[in-house]
Amino acid sequence: MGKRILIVDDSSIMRNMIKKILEAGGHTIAGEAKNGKEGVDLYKSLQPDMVTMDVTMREMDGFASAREIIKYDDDAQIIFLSNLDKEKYGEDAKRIGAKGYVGKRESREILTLIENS
Amino acid sequence: MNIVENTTACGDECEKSARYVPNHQEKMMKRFRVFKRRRKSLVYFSLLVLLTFSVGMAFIFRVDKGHLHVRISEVIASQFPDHEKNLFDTREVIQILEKIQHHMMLVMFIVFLCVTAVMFVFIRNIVRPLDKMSVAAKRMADGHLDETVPTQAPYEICVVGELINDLAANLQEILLHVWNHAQHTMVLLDQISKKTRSQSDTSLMPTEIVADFECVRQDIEKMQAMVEAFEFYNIKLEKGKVVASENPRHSDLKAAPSNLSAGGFQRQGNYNQ
Repeated sequence: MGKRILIVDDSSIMRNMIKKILEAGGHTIAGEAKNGKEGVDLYKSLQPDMVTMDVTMREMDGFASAREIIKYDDDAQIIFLSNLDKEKYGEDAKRIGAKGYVGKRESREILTLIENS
Repeated sequence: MNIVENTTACGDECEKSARYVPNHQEKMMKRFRVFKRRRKSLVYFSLLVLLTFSVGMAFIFRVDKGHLHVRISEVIASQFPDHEKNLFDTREVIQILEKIQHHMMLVMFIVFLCVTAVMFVFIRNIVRPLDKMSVAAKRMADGHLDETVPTQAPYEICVVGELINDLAANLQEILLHVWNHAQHTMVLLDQISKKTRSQSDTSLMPTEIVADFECVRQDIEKMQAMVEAFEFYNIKLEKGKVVASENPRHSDLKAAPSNLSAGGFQRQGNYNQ
């Protein structure tokens, strides 16, 4: 069953790419945010089923934003999607309470993660 | 360039903090560069002030001329019958004209103040943010994608600044994507060449193919070198990995057991407490 997903990424090109992948997987885009702060605000107003979160962003980074979202909603489903090294930052994402960490090079893996969640 | 070192007397554990202090000549050069950038707007405003002043002053001097007083008095007096012409007092006309002259001077002064205020506001709210924006955009164009265009400005300028930042973010994303793919390809090439070297019969791999592999490797290395010439926002490329140059804000995270599999993991209830 398709999910309502919020995309948080500072790059419009990446947002479009993720949007296409998710829509092809039968999901709908609840909203798009270009930084962590906007992501937290949109999460509160849109209440999406899931969030895809970049790490490096201006204003508020992905980890800080994810922590804010989880503080607001303990059941928040967040998947990190970043260019940063997965081995190094995957553990950090896990500690925050995210559902997973996907490298942008293998963005399509996100569909498998969503299906498994 | 002067570097001031602040050293505290604390033995071996002294911490030296270097702070850049521009000297007088550098300050003057900076001021000159700022003036050069604002030269056009300053010239336009000066011309506007000069024009306003010239028109006003021309009018005031025209009113002040004696023959104008006489001419106006004559015109008014001609409207009266001959026997009443002598009763007409020209001093009142002169007083009225002087009053108009004073009003004109007051208006001129107010206009001058308004133009100066507009010029000040224009420079502070438009020219200065544009200056900062152009300096930041120039650095971005030079490959410093770590630069951020300031967006504390009037709405129209703020929008342009945000768009420049978006362009930089997109460029960074594309470059990192290219670099990551190149890195992955290099790993694959390494694995292929390792496997071919381990073959007992080297004749299975013709020398042309080995040379082609080397060409591909060199091309990828050049592509990576091109990407590495950029400065990225909060990211650095080291030892074949993309890492954050500043630690993302997660210092308060607690240690957690490792259960990472296929990119996904189970939420640990106590992590957020």
